[in-house]
Amino acid sequence: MIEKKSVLDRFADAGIYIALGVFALFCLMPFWIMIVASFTDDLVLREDGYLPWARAWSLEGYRWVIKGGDIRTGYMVSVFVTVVGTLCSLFVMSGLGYVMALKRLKGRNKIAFYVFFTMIFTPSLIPWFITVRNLLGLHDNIWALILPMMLQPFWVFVLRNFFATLPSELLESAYIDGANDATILLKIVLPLSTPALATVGLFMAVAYWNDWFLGVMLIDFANIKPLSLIILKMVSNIQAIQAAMKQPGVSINLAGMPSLTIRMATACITIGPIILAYPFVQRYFVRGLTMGAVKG
Amino acid sequence: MKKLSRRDVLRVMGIGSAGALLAACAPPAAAPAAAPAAPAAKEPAKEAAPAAAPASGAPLKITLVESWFGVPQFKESIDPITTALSKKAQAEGLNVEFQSMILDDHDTKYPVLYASGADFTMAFDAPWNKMTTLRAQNALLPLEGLFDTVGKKVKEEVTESIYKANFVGEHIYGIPTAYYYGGTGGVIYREDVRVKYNAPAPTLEGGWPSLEPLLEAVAKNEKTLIPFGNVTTQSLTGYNRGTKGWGSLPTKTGVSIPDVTKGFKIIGQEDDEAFIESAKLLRGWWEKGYVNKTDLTFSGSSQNAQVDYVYPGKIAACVENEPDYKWVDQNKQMKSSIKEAELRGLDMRGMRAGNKGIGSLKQWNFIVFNAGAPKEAQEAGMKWYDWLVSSQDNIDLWMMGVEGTNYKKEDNLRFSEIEGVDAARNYRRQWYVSGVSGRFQRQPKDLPKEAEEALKFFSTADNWVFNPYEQFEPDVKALEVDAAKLNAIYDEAVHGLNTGQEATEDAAKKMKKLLDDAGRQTYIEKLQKQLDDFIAAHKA
Repeated sequence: MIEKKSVLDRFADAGIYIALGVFALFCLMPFWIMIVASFTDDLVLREDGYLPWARAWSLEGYRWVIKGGDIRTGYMVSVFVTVVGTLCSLFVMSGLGYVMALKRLKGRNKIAFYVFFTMIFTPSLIPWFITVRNLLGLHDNIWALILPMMLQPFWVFVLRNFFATLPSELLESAYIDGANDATILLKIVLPLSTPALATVGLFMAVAYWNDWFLGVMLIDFANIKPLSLIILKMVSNIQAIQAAMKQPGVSINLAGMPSLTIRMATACITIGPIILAYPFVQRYFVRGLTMGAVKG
Repeated sequence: MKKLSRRDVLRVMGIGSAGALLAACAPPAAAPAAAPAAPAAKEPAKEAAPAAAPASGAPLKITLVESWFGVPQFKESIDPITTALSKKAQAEGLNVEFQSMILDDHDTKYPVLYASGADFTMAFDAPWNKMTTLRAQNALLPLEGLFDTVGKKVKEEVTESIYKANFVGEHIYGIPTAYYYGGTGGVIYREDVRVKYNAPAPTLEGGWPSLEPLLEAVAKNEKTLIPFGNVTTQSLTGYNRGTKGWGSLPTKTGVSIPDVTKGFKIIGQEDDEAFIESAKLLRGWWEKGYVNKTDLTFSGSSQNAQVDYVYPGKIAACVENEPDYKWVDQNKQMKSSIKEAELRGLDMRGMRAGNKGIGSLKQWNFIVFNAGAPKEAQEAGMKWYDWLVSSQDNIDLWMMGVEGTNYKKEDNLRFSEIEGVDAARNYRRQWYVSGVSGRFQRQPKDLPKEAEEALKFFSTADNWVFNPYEQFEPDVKALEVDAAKLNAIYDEAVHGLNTGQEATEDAAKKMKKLLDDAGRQTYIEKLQKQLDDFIAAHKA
């Protein structure tokens, strides 16, 4: 039986919906303003500031960003790094997480401590740079953008904790039936862990997509700079040229460069694909976020 | 296929995971932190200056680390030029392959490259940035030996006086890139607005007060236009009529030597009469509504009032370095925003009206050499710059790119742009990042006569007075703690005077109190002692 709501309840519901709607609007507003600004005429943007609607529209910002081959290459590099990096990362981290969750493995706590140690004590920049670049040779190749952040201790622990919540009877019965650990991991544990994998995968994908630091530090000459770095470079380039124009004897004619809308257009281009990826993992993502919240 | 046992699988997984962990966390013990990187090619460079005959054998790779200082940061813009340069050098007997390593994050990566022993030869640097620290860490190569053996043309091009002035102690740590001895400071203003309201033009002799009629006309007639946009960090107070101050004392510490022709006593900045005079002028303008009432905000980090306020038609005037030259380019941009608008620029310190300013032999821009680079690469690097300055053709290729592609060559060291070439991506190395003096840089064909005269004025030594103790370099390490305390409070302390938002006397008292409370007197005493010692040692 459906309980009939009183008028007061309905008013209360309406109030809650309105409040949440307004809140949601505030959350969306920065994105909306960013999109509008990216399509606004640069001069109008300077005159009027950032508004939810533009007085004059222009595609100049996008024209400047898309000009040249950098963006296309950057997209390809970022997509490759994100896809391959996320898959490799899930493979390695779930393997390590499974090993750490195996109750019958002696020394699993020592491994866990070793992983935990790296989470707490991270190396400073120069030793990290020397190790990764000089010792491991991760320099000017695509793996330099993937390997250094492939294993994230925090997510290893998240996966380990999730694997530990799976019914031990299920794993033991598979073990008694003759399945080895690879089979158990691939055929039983991972299929049952899709929420955890989706959550970790999404966070890793976002981290790979947004990462510019590895490109800055480890790519010098190779034409494999990720999109985020190209965007960063483009924005700093505009500022640099404007700063250079303050030097005597310097003559650069950049009349009409839409420097503000370029920034907004680059932001739109960068966040687009990763926002589109979110709905595909959303159903796992919500469950994944609550994993481990209640322990039996 | 044999099925793996449980133990095998566990072993493989364990080893794999541990390996991955080790790879991510391996200690740096085995890394050669300060060891020189391996040479890119075995063949040593020739001892002599480049001969006319083409070079043979594998070229020696030399790498210049640079950032976005005046060069479009695109490989597609830079690579064709560096390739063309290398080919030309090789054809003329200098067997090197030059490459440019463009840093995307200069602040972070630049020191890390030195610390990690990365393989690079030279870098663009400037003393306000990292040079002092790197010198102390022995990361920079003293160059006087290379100048004397393989850099004679560079030395000649730098000029004897500038070469000598840029020694720090016993050594010179970079190729000083020079152009001008000093610059003017003044105003960029809307000429069309001035003409519209028939306001008298500001004059070199009249200085800042002569700008007032224009500001008054704007305030009266143009309600949407701020007459004078004052940027807090580049305030009018820094562009006052005092032209003989010591320009290179540590910044943001609130100290000053107002006139080096009269003495070398360090005082508090608010005791500098010229500073207070301009603060009073600014305060007066603020009270009359000629200046922005609150701080201006900016879209980027460059605090560029022109981009954010002048071109969009929000302010009628603002300060600028060398405005008597800069207005030419700025006018082009202004017109792209507001067709009928016209900009003009004028020196408001009266330097070009006979008020001689302090010139500078000590330069700001250097090409430094990596002390950890192989000796032959270091030598080849100096030979490279020596070769560059050996002909105007080389300099043109280096600074302007390929003729017909990046620019069109005109007579009298002028150039014109090629229609349809994207200015933001077109190769254009600016003189101050080139290791080659700005006097060899081509200027636009349409450069107005007055702008040309301004450039000539900046680069003529007779127009400037020189500080005999310019070479003094404070021992910043000894002052580090005291300076840090002053740095932390400086912006707040000077804000009232730099904006006109507080009565000048009150703001000056506040500045004095804040900085003195932060230990300025101790700092002045220490700095004064260093300076006095230097003067005593160099008087002879």
